[in-house]
Amino acid sequence: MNRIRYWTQKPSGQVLLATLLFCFIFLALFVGLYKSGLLYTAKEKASRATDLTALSAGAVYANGMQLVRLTNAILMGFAVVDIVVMEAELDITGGISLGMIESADPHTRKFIQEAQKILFGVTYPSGAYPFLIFNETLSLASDNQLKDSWPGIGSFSFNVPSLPSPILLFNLEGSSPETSILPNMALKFRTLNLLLPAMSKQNKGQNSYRLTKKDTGEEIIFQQHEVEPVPNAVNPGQMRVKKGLDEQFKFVSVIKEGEAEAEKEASQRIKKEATSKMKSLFGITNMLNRIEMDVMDRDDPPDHTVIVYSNFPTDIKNPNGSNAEVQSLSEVSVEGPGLAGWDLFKPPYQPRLLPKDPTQIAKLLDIQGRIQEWVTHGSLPKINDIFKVGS
Amino acid sequence: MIEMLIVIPILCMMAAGVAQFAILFQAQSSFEHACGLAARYYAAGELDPNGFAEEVWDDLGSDQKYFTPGSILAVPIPTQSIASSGWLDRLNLLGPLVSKIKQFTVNYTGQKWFVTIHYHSAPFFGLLFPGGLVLKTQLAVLKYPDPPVNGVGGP
Repeated sequence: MNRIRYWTQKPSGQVLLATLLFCFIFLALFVGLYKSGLLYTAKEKASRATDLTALSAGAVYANGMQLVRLTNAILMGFAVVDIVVMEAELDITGGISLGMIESADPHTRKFIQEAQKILFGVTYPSGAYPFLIFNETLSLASDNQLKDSWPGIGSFSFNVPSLPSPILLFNLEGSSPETSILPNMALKFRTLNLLLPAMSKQNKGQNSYRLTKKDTGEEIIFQQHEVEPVPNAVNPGQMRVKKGLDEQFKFVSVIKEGEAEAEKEASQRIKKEATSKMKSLFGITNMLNRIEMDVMDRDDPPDHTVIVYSNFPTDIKNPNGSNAEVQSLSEVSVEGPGLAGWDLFKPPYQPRLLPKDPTQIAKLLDIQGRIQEWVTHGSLPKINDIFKVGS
Repeated sequence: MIEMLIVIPILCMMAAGVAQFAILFQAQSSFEHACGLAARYYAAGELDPNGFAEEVWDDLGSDQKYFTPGSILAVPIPTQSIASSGWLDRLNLLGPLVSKIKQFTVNYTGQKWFVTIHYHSAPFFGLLFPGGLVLKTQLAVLKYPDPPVNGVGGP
């Protein structure tokens, strides 16, 4: 021991001690850098994987919206038959009352509406297609190496030991956290009193779009059929010039042409007067309100979003020996020109990745806590809690 | 003075190692980001799946210097999605009408890629890994519509 102490007091011993000290400092620095580097790369991977999974959910959702349009177009054919029969029946009886309208309605559109209910979950908490979106998103989560701890369809053991991952929240803005856990497409049936003004608006004409040349200031107007939604757009509703018109304008963003204020006001006034006259003349708003027609957006403004909250497993060990996981959050919005049957040949709905909003994380952590509570107590939320009935 | 001759090279080597690892992580992060960008181009319908590797290389930008040119390899494979499963494609055999109906109903498709790239070693790193390193990643995405409807979504 004395020999070592004596040696460390010599220059060579002190150099060795200093070298060991520096080596220790550099080693700590090195390990820290290595771990933080691994975590940074994992964070990048987790963020990318969640973004791509959310975009995929949006793609399946957008495909579903086109299916809604298709079924709406078929339904409109039957609805026309129903309206014509109802009108003829009421002409013969010569009076209008709710009972008469209901008895005159042949309901040929009913089987399409029933199919829409089951397929898209209209008026139901969920449907076949929303579950397809859910299932496809889980498949893509696995493909993107995200943790998928949902029990399989073939598995009957639903004793989930921990919170399932990834968590998907559908149309959170327009619903409560409890209802958004269930896959849904935020749709409802449009009643006849809402359908008639929408049809008159449809007949009003097409929108136009303006492009201002930066160098000359020259303005070029494009019609609706010459533009298309920008995929993965930064701003909602962003449109661009279609390919094949003029190479110099290909994919250049355009601005929607505003109608002249006076014209807008006049048209709104006329529409208001017409609606008011129609209501007072026929007094049938309440009756029309009960006649269900095609499928429309549940929320106004339309909200079709999917939030994906995922866990990305890493090889980095936690102090308790478990592998560290990186959490990530992405939100996709599905946007398009409309769901009505007459919108069938309009540009399709497009998924758009929304910028990350830190306030969403706080909201999500609250929802995560609630789900965790359900899981640990082994009780799923009651139907009353989900749909706020009986309270 | 003699002592310093022993200590300084060791410390320099460790400092260089730290810097080299930082560069490696920067390259890896940049590679992951470029792959994500290319996948988003594909999802927006602006990229052919076969052009994925070229797009990743382009998206690497100034970080291309870390990698061996031409070493990038993107192997496309089907996703686990129903849209990628064979039975849906077999519907096309039923005729052009069924194929057309399918296009109007199930019109999304997906792609998964295994991407590898060769990271060529920086000077000091070459002592540890003379042959460089192969960075690997895996990613998948679904896109809609496919093929383009009304001119939207086509490459």
